This record gives sequence, structure tokens and C-alpha cells, in this order.
Amino acid sequence: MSIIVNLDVMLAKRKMKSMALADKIGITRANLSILKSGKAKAIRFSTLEAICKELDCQPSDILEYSSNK
Amino acid sequence: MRKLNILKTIVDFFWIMSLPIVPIILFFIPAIFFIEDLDFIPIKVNGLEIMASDNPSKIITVFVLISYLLLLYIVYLFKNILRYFKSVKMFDDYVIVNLNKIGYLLIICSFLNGVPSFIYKLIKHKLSIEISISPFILLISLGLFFMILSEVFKISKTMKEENELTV
Repeated sequence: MSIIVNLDVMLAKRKMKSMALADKIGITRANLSILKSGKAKAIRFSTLEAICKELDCQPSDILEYSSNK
Repeated sequence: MRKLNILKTIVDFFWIMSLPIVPIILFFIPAIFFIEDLDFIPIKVNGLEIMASDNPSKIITVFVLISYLLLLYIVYLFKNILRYFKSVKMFDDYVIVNLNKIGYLLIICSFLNGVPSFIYKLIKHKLSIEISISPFILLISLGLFFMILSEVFKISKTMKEENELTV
């Protein structure tokens, strides 16, 4: 897919563990792992909103479009 | 799932009852050309009685027997698909591939059955207008339905995967 998820970059910037983020935004660790690995086919606005709120960032910081892939 | 159990029982019963006929048919297909007079066995194809004493009639009988074998193979595939349904593996690749295969086989079956009997009618000048649901059309429709069902299952599988991978 040509949408790249930069969630691990943002987590590293905020010095937060993915487990902690999953617990705070209320999604399972398995689902967060799917999102981080780029296997996810879709993301709900509510999930995106929760991630942005928790990491204090914009959706563009997490999602990136690349025409190469 | 009670309906599924009933259907599976019926299909399994039909499959078990048909199994002894397979070796008889396999023996009968080559033997038909060596038996001189087959008139002692009444053979009916699509409601048309065939006197299997001449060569064209024998060829038609062979086609019908081959189509019956194909039909048994279809029943076997359907039986396996029902087994997958029972173990709640509705969207398995096996189901999708075999539903499509059943569709193709049903269409082949209808042609094996319908075309020779039509030619026989032409040869024997027994052409008539019949107003009823023809098994030829019915089998083709059923085959196409199974192929469409396979496509529907393919789309459903993609949707299911997308749903599972939505975070």
C-alpha cells in the first residue's frame, strides 16, 4: 500500500511504548501492532483522533503518502 | 445450522447411494459398443426414449453416462464445501475455487446432456415444441448461479479481511 504509517517514529519522538499507547487510547495491542506494521487496510477517524490526541500530533505526522510502493 | 445439517445429510446420503453405480457406469461405457442389442434396457434422456441399438444412440448414451459421472463429481465437491460450511470456514479459498468449478462442470454437464439429445431428435425427426422448464436451461442457469456465488464469496472474503484489518 502507498500509505505509510509512521506511528513508531512518533512513539519514539514522544518516548512512549506502544503498549502504553494501546492502553491509553483503548485499542488492543494486536490492533496497534497491525497498524504499526502497515498491514491495516483502514483506520477509523475515532482511532486516528485518539492517537493524535495522545501523541499531541497531526494525522500527517502519522500517515504519509508515497508513490513508490 | 439445522438446515445445513439436513442438507448435508441429504447430500451425503445421495453420495453414498450413488457410489456403487460408479463402477457399473465405468464398465458400461466401453461395454456399450460391444453389446449388439441394448433395447432390453429402456434409456430415457431428457424425457426422450432412446433405442440404443444403433451407433448414434450408443454415443448419446455414453455422453449421458459421462455427464452422470461429472454430476457425481459435482456432488462430491458440494459435499466437501458443506463440510467447510459446517466448520464455519465459509470464506476459505477451497470454497471459492470449488464453487466456481461446480459452475463450470454444471455447464459442461448440461451440454453433454442437452446437445446429443437435441441431435438425436434431429436425426430421428422427433422435434417438437415443448412448453416446460428444460433441464438443459436449468442446468446452465444453475452453473452460472454457482459461478456468481463464487464471485460473491470472493468479494465477501475481501470485505471480511478489510473489516478484520480496520483499526
